[in-house]
Amino acid sequence: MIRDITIGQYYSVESPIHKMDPRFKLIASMLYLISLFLINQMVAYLVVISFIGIVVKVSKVPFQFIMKGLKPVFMLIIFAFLINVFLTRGTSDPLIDIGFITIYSEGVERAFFMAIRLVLLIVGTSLLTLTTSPIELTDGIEYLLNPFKRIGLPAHELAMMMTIALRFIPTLLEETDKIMKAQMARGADFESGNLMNRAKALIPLLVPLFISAFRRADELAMAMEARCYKGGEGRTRMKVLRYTSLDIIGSLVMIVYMAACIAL
Amino acid sequence: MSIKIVNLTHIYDKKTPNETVAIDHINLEIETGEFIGLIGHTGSGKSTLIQQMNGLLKPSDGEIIVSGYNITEGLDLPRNQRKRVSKSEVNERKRRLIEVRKRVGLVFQYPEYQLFEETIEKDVAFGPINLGLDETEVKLRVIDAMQTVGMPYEQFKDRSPFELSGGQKRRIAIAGVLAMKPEVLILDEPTAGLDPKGRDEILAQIKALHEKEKLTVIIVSHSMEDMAKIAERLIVMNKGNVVLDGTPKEVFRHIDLLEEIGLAVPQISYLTRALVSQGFEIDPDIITVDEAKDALLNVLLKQKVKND
Repeated sequence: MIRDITIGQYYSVESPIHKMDPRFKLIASMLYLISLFLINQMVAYLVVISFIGIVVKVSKVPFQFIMKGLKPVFMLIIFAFLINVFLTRGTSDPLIDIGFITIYSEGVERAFFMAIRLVLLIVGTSLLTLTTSPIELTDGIEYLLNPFKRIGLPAHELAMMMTIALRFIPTLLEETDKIMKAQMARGADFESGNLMNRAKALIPLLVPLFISAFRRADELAMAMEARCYKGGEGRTRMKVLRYTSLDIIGSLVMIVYMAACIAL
Repeated sequence: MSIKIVNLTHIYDKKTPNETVAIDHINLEIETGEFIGLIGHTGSGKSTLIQQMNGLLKPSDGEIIVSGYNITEGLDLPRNQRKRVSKSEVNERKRRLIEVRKRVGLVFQYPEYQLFEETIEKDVAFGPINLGLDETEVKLRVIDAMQTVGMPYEQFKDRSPFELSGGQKRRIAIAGVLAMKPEVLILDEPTAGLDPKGRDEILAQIKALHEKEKLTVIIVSHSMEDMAKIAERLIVMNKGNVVLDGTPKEVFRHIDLLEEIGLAVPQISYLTRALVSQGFEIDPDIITVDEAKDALLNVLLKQKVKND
């Protein structure tokens, strides 16, 4: 059961979108998010939908894969839709008026756009994590946070922490699986009982897990120090981020897209 | 307790692109009181096999019968068609799993990492309490198990398991499984990462336990030397199949096959083979240092007599 959990849902294929600079992709995603809140017309939505459709096509990530990311937030979308349908007060005559339920055409319209907006938001952001490996992503974030170093933001340390955390997620999952099995072999039961019992049953799992996590952290710190790690100052990179012609094309596309969104 | 494995198959990630056959229609019979060494290269399916014997993994096909009790049956909750699982079904499954674990005890690799309680006594008691035994019985078993692994109860019961040395921690973890009084004891590399002294102590204790309690023991190991010394029967696995099965002497005769599947024979067997090919008249089936010593002394004595 623990094997099914995937964090950092990178989908590894070769595509122009995958090859783009993570910094560009981060900024482009941010612009895309802003654009979603700028638009409020049917035509503009069509522009956004066709834009993201083309990006998905170019990225070679299968459509079903993206839809899978929508599943967990599906309830939220439905909820937002219903709230908007029922609670929006319109000026025209209500569409339906049965006792305490009144639905206005504005409400339906707003609910519909809200749902589309949420879907587009999730598709856009998951496209970023689907096409950018976690390591690239943290690299990009580190660069983008660099200007804030002046006001005391530890950009490198933050990025390093994220990288290490990402690196150890599979290791810890494996460890959890192992300890779980070992305790199950001693008769521990993680699957039945009420909430209280289940919480208690986690102690034999969590204590060894924490101990091993601390031990690993200690060992990692030692290994890093043994290799003269001393923070970000003057540190060179194995993979230097470079803007390529792909990013220039991407930038142009983004400019045109943003202009279209603002104009509409 | 005899174990009968019939047509056992295990497939990971069935019906996905990652589908891998970990165990491929294995048939085995293990008699009560046997001392078995299970060897195989990484990924040969030994871990999957021992986890199935303990009910941690449900086989894709086939069954395991421990002294007439089918332990592979009823492990799954009926999860079909989103039917709510009734309370009695949950309890039935729980009861069956406890039955399995009463019969087969499994000690994982690096078992010391599973210790979690404040005191050693509580940690060793974890298993027996889960079996639903009463307090006095639990205490008796804890005392007994700690004695067996050479960690006297009175001396150690109130200490924290985390302040012990590596070898001691491991013995406490093994005691935690022994306290469940299994009829079959399975150990996955019980000596990995221990110093030679700790290794010999643990192996000696397992051997003693086997002889005293007539316990069926299965040890997974990568040390051919240890296996040659203590196992009575060796089972060699490769790619989900049993490729060799017999006494250590029989198995270690197949040097070429063993090397081909990424294993080796005890170093002393290599020495014996070299000596035999140089014309020494010794038994080619020598697998332990002691046997080699006796055989060589014999040869040398004979030569001395001849020369005199």
